[in-house]
Amino acid sequence: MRLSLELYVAANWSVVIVYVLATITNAAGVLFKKDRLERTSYWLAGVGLALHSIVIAIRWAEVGHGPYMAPSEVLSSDAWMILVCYFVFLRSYPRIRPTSLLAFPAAFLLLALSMFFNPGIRTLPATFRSVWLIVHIALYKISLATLVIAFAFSVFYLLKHRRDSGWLQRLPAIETIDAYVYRFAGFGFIFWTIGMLAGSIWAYQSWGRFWGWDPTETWSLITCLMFGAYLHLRRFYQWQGVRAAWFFIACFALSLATLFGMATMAGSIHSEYFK
Amino acid sequence: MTARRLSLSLILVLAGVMYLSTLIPQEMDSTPERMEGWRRGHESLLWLVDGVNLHRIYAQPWFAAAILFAALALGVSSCEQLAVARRKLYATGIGAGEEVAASVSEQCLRSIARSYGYRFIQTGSIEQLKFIRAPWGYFGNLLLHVGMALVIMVSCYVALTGRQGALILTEGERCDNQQPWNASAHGILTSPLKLPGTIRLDKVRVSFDSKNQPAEVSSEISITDGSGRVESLTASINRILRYHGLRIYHAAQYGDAFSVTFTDRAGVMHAEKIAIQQPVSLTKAGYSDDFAVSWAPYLLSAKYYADAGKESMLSTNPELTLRITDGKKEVARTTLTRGSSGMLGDYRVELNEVEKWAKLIIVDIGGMPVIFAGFAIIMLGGLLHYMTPPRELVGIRQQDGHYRVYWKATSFKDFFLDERDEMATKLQKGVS
Repeated sequence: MRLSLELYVAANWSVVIVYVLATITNAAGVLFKKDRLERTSYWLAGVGLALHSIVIAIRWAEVGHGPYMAPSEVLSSDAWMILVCYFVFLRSYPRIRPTSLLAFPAAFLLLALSMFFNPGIRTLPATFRSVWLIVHIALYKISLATLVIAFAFSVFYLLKHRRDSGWLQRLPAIETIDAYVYRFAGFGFIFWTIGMLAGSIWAYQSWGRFWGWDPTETWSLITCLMFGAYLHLRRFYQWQGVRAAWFFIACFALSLATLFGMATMAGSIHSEYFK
Repeated sequence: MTARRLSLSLILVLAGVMYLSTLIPQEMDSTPERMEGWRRGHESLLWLVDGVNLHRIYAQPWFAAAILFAALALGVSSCEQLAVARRKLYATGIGAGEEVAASVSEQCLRSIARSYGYRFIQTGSIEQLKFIRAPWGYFGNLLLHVGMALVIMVSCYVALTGRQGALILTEGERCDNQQPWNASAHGILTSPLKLPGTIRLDKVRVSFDSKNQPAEVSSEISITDGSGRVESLTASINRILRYHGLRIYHAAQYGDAFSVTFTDRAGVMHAEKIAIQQPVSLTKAGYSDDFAVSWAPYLLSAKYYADAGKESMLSTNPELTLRITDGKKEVARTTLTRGSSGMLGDYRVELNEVEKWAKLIIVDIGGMPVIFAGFAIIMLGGLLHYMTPPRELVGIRQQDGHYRVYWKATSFKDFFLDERDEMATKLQKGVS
C-alpha cells in the first residue's frame, strides 16, 4: 500500500483533529467532572492513536526506514510514543489518568508541528542501518514520554499546592503526586541513560569511537547528570514538594532543549539528518 | 564532606564544565574561522580562556583529574552502598514499618508472605520473621554506582591509550606505514598508530535497495605485512574488520573520485583527482565545495550526479559539474561525463577517469568490553532500583507465639498500597 504525499499530509491532519477533539473532551471531562466525556476522550485518543499507527506503519514501509530521519518523522513518532506510553503506563498505574490533560495536547501539538516541516522522503545512510540506532532512538522517545507524565504531575503538584479546590481536589493526594513525579522522573532518567549508552555502542560500531563530545552528546550527558542530581537530591537530601517540582521542571526544559534544540545545532553529527 | 555530598558536587561541577564547553568553541569540533570569530568577539576573556586552555577543555589534565576524582568518589560511594544494602537486608526491627495485623500465626504469615512473592530472610533474630519482596532492589544503587565508576575509569584508560588513524584511498591506491594518515589521534600515554603494513584499496562495492538507498557499502582491501604476506579482506559499514589486534572501520564517507585534466591557454596541464561524497539519490548531487588549487587564482567547486541519465545509482556514467569562483562570484562552470571535455573559463578540462574512493578508520584501543560491561551494570542497577523497590513484611513474635506484622516499602510506597491492603486483609482474617 502506498500513500501519496498529499494523502499522507491529509491523514496526519485528520489524526491531529482527532487528537484535538480528544484533548477538548478530556479537559472538559476532567475539569468539570463529566465521566462520560472523559471516557469519550480516551476512546477518541485510542482511535487517533490507531490511525496514527497506521499512517506511521505505511510511511515506514514506503520510505524504507523508521520515523527518525527528518523533523516531520521525529516529531510525529514522538507524539505517537507519548500516547502509547501513556496508555501502557495507565494499565499499571491507574492514578496517572489525569496526566492526559498534558499528554493529549502534547501529542497533538507535536504532530501538528511536524506538519510544518518538509514531509519529503530522506535517504537512509548506510551507517544508520544498525539495530543500536533504533534502540538508541526508541529509548529517548520512551524517556520523553515518561518525562511528560512526570512533568504533568509536577504541574499538578504546584497547582494543588497553591490552591487545592475545584477539579484539583479530584487529583490524588499531594504526597502521592509528589511520589509519582519522583517515580516517573526515575523512569525517564533510566531510559535516557540507556538510550545514551545505546547511542555510544552504535557510534563505536559505526565509527570506532564511543564518545566524541559532539554538542548533542554533551548536552545529553549534561541533561542526564542534572536528572541524576535531581534523583540524588530527592533520595539522599529528602528534597520534595515545591522546590523538587521546580527543579524537575527545569530538568524537563533542559531535556526538551537537548532533544529538539541541540540536535539542530551546526557542528553536531545529529544535525545532519535533523535539518 | 560525605561521599554523597561529594558525588553530588562532582555531578554539578562536571555538568557546569560541559556547559562551559558548549559556550566556548572547542578546537576539536570548531572551524578555525569560528574560533577566530569567537576570539575577536571576546577579547576581554582571552586571558582566562588561554590561561586555563578553555578551547581544549576535554584534553586538560584538570578535567581528566576531575573525571578520575568522580570515579573515585563513585567507588567510595559504591562501598558505602554495599554496606547500606547489606545492613538493610539483614536489619532487625520494624523501622518505619506500619502495622498491618496484630496477631497472626507463623504458618499463616509464612504462607501469605510466600503467596505475594516475599522471601524469608534469615536475620539471626528468633523474635522476628522477616520477608522481603524483590530483595535485590537493595543492590540497585550499588550496581548503578559501580557501573558508572567502571565506565568512567575505563573511558579514561581508553582516552589515554587509544589511537586511531583515517585513510582516504581511491581504488588501486596503496598506502604504507611511512605515509601520513589523512587524520589521526592518539592518547598521551601512547605513540601514534602505524599501519601494520601496506594497505591497498582494491574495490569499493555499493549496493542499493529498491528505493535507491545504499543497502551495503564495502571495500575490498589487501594488506601486505612486513614479511611480504598478502591478506585480502573486506571492510564494510557497520561490520568491523579485525586485523592483528586492530579494528578497521569503513566510514560513511565514500563516493566517486574524478581524474580531471586542466589545460590553460599556454598549454600547461594540471591533473587533479577530485573525491566527492556519494549522492544520496538520483536527483541529488554529491558536493565538494570551494577548494583551492595551486595553479589557479580561483576556488574550485565540484558536484556530481550518480547517473547522467538519472536512471541507476549503479551507473558507470556519472555527471560531473565543475565551477570556478572568484570570491563569491561565479567565473565559469562546465558539465562533463566520462571521457568528455569542455571549457571552464580559460581552462580546457577533460574528465579522464572515474574511480570509487572510500575512507577507512583504523583503531587500536583496548578496554571497550569493560566499558560495555559497565553499561550493562548501570542498566541492571537502574532497573533494579527504580523498577523493583524492595518491600518488607516483618513479624514480631508476641508472648502468645503469634506475630504482630508490619509492612513497609523502601521507596515509592504509594505504588504498593494495594498490595499492602490486600495482604493486610488476608493477615487479619488469618487466611492465605
